[in-house]
Amino acid sequence: MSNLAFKMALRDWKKIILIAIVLAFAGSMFIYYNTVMFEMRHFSPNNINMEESDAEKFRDMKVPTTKSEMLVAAMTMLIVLAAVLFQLNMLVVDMINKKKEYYALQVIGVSEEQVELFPLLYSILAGALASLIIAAVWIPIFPYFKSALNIHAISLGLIILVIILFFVMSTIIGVKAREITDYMQ
Amino acid sequence: MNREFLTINDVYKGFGEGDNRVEILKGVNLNLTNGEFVMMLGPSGSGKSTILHLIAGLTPVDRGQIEVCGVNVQKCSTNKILELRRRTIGYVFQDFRLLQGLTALENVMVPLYAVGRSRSVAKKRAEELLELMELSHRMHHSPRKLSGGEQQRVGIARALANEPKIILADEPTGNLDQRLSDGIIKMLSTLPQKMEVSILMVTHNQQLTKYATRIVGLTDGQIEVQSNV
Ligand SMILES: Nc1ncnc2c1ncn2[C@@H]1O[C@H](COP(=O)(O)OP(=O)(O)OP(=O)(O)O)[C@@H](O)[C@H]1O
Ligand SMILES: [Mg+2]
Repeated sequence: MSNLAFKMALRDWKKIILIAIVLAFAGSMFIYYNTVMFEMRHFSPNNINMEESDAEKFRDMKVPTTKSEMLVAAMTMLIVLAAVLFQLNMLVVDMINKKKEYYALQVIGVSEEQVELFPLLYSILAGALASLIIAAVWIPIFPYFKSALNIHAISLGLIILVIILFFVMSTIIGVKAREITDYMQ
Repeated sequence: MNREFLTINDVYKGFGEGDNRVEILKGVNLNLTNGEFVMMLGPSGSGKSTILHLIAGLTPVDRGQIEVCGVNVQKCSTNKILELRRRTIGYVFQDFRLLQGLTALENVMVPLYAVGRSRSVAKKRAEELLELMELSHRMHHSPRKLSGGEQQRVGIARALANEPKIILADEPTGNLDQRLSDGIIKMLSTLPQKMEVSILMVTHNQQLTKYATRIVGLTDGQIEVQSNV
């Protein structure tokens, strides 16, 4: 059954790409701003850990205040949340459109878990593609990014975290979409 | 040869609570034996669809009992009911209810995968069924590219996939014009000669009753025999 669900999801590639781009965009905003904030705060010229050569790069930069850091973190979080809600919304609308067909599958004896494969694979594909886009964009430019801003390895952790987060979140959304659809009706 | 595939014994069913309560079925009795093609007529809201839902175990009866091939539907576990729907009952919908994202062939493969058939076995069986439905040339099309009549033939192929003993069809031609309806029902009526199956079909269309082996009516919550053809 999963190969049918996979085929069906793939045939909806336009929607999957749209979701993936929105997720990847939001994730990139999150990574970029939080990395910059983090690095600027902790590796600024005022910071004693800073080497002389690195201090050069930060000479004219304003060190963010805790307040502006928090604001940026909160805003990027909101953007990520909006993107995830967008994904959820797309999935729920799709499920509502196909509700009758999915119900019919249960009537002909397909178990609930197997019916769930259809939205699940759709969601996983979108999440995986978003993770892939983020990985493909950020991992290669990371070394340059790192030297340009003298970025610390922790930021790589942030990138990887976002990649994993989107993948896991898409799986959870896929599983929960049916319940949410039922609840909304 | 005259095996009983379905026995409905004094079944009651109502909906709602308290003042809103309405009794729909009030002592329904109906049998279905191998090879029969029974058509059920009755006014809108009389409970025809409800009877089909009860047989498929989609809702519980209030009173009475329903046996499908010797299995008491009310006493079944969830898994047993699923098994029944997979292997013993085939369901045909008025609005076809095919997955648009799959091809005709893949739609017919769904119930075969549900019983654990391998890809090659499922594909072969689905091809055979679509050939039987004279849809060989349309196998790889999405249902949205098929006409209503063709979609319903895919729906019937899907219902037949696991060699069910009972086909439940709820106004299968309700969305089709007279000529197409006639073709579909004529084809349905030949099935009992080709395989061990019986059909219970709900219809509003009097002109189709000529294909039935028996016609029953549902009025005031009870089944009355209208004619034996
Ligand atoms: N789940 C439900 N909850 C409440 N009432 C229901 C439910 N299902 C059916 N009914 C009611 O039971 C009655 C019979 O419904 P049913 O769908 O079986 O009629 P029908 O004979 O198939 O009608 P039609 O020819 O219009 O399809 C209707 O009045 C309907 O409103
Ligand atoms: Mg009905």
